[in-house]
Amino acid sequence: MPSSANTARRGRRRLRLSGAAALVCALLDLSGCGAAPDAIKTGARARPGTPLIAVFPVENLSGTRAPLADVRRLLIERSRAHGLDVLDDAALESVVTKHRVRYTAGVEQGFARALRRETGAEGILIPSLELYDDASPPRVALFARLVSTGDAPAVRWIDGTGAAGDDSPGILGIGLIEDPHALLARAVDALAASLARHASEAGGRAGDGPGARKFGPKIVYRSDALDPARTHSVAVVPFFNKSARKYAGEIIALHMIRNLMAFPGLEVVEPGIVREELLRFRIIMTDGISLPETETVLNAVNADLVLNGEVLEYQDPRGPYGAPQVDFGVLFIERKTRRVVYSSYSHNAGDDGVFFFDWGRVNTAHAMASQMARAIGQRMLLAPPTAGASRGAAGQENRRRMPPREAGGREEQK
Amino acid sequence: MEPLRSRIIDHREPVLAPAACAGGHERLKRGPRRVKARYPVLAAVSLALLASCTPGITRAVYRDPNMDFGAIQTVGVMPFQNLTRESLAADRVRDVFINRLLSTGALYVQPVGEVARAVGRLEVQSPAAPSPDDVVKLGGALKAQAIITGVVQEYGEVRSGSSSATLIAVSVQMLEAQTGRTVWTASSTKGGISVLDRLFGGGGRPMNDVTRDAVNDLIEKLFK
Repeated sequence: MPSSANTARRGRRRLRLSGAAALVCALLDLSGCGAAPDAIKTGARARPGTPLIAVFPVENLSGTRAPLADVRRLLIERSRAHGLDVLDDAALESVVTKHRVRYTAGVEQGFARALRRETGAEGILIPSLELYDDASPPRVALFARLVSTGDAPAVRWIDGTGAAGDDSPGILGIGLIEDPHALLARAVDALAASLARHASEAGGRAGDGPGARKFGPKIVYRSDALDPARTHSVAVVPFFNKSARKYAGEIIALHMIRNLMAFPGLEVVEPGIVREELLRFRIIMTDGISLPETETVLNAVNADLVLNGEVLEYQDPRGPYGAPQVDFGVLFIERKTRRVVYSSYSHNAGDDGVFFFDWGRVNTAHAMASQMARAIGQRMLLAPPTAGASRGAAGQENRRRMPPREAGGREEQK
Repeated sequence: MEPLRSRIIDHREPVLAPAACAGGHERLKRGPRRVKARYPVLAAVSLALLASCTPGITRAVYRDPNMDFGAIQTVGVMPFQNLTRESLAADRVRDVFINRLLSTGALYVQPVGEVARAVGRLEVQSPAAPSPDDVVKLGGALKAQAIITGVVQEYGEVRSGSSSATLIAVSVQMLEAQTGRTVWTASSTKGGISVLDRLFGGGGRPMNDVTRDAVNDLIEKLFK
């Protein structure tokens, strides 16, 4: 009897222990789902051999009040946590004050040289806050880019992230994020992790996988003069903003830079340098860039292509209903021929192609615009078609009726 | 005007022709069974007559028969005139039109910035509707053989009772840069409230899709 009682007691104890273990596991699992970025220790030391970087103040492209100081503090903390070496604020402040730098959304050549010489920093991290919406569900979108210092500053890495609290609601809404700070922390951590990966891989490019087909440009012109096998450097001039959203031109320009940088055949000139040259030559664009202006800018920054365009719509929904809408056109002009080599028009809504249970729905304009920009890069770097094979019958017929001077141009339309 | 007049005369002739009246007398003599048998034929003829009596529609395209369109290699597209309440309508339609025209591969379109520069330099008073002299100057400045202007007449949502749908109406014209005269005009209207919209609602197709349809229609008319 005692032995059977002991066995029963042991069994109950084992059951209790296994129940407790399961509960602990479930709790750990839930906490893991909730706020993973907060679990990272912030006191980590910089890995030996990692470059010293300076973090600029956050550029506010949200058009509203946003916790910019918090974003910067978080970014520095997370970068340090990932083993990156960050220049302290006092040293950066002294160089900025000494050289009277007012524009911190880009890097100018003189400052890049001075920062390298005076602090030894090898890179400047420029964060840009695209969206901060603390309504329910919250929405956050961020960009960050790393620009090298020294005599020839260049964009070394750029990445962005956009997230909404209801991106992954899960069963019974357990995956919903109500706290905008938690969402912000997650976004910042994603960027810091991407930057750390870049630093460890010594120059690996950030970028998403291939975008969905539905986000491809709707009308495309691509000249056969554009050789995808060659490496092109691109100068991005500010996009015209005709939308109701403040700073939509700058946001689309950042999306384009980010996604063009993901292709090995494309190099992008630091926007701060392009801006410096535009100011130096007093170029004021009224409705897009003209050919003499194109030549001036490209000669000044020594690039092959100039990217220009206009934004007609860039809209994020507020609250749980509605879908983001993005509508823009891009234009690449080549330096050598002074002709348009690529032009396209893209527009999408977050609920395009969504029919059942919000499958495939995109909740932020950032996430959608990123895929749209990536699709433009892919289309641009497509191999030219073999003569007559991919050109549509209509295009050939049109060509016969109106023969163009240039033996190029390709018709594509969705 | 010629086709319209000829059409009206043609439609009236069968109705007033004595042969038709004679046929009617014959039919009365033959009795009711034959009359019954001819009902479908008569109905079909009268339907055809009624349908052809609808107002004659003139074509929405004009092409100068003396113009050699094959000589046009480069064009400049001026800002479109906006007659709608939507402030961005003209910009949207122009953007789609330029991209679609470029994508045909048959014409090269000067960048909008270059057009804006030429307009500024030549001090064109009305870029959306340039005078023939301005067209000649613009053609020289842009190194283009033709200048295209356009007007957006309708853009946005239309309502009829409880139904609504999207609608666009746009017309474009091509002006020869050497002389400044109009060599091609076309107009297109797409969207609007269909029977399905009236029955099931739905608000019509997205505005961007309707715009693309209208622009495609215009481009097809140019190359026809």
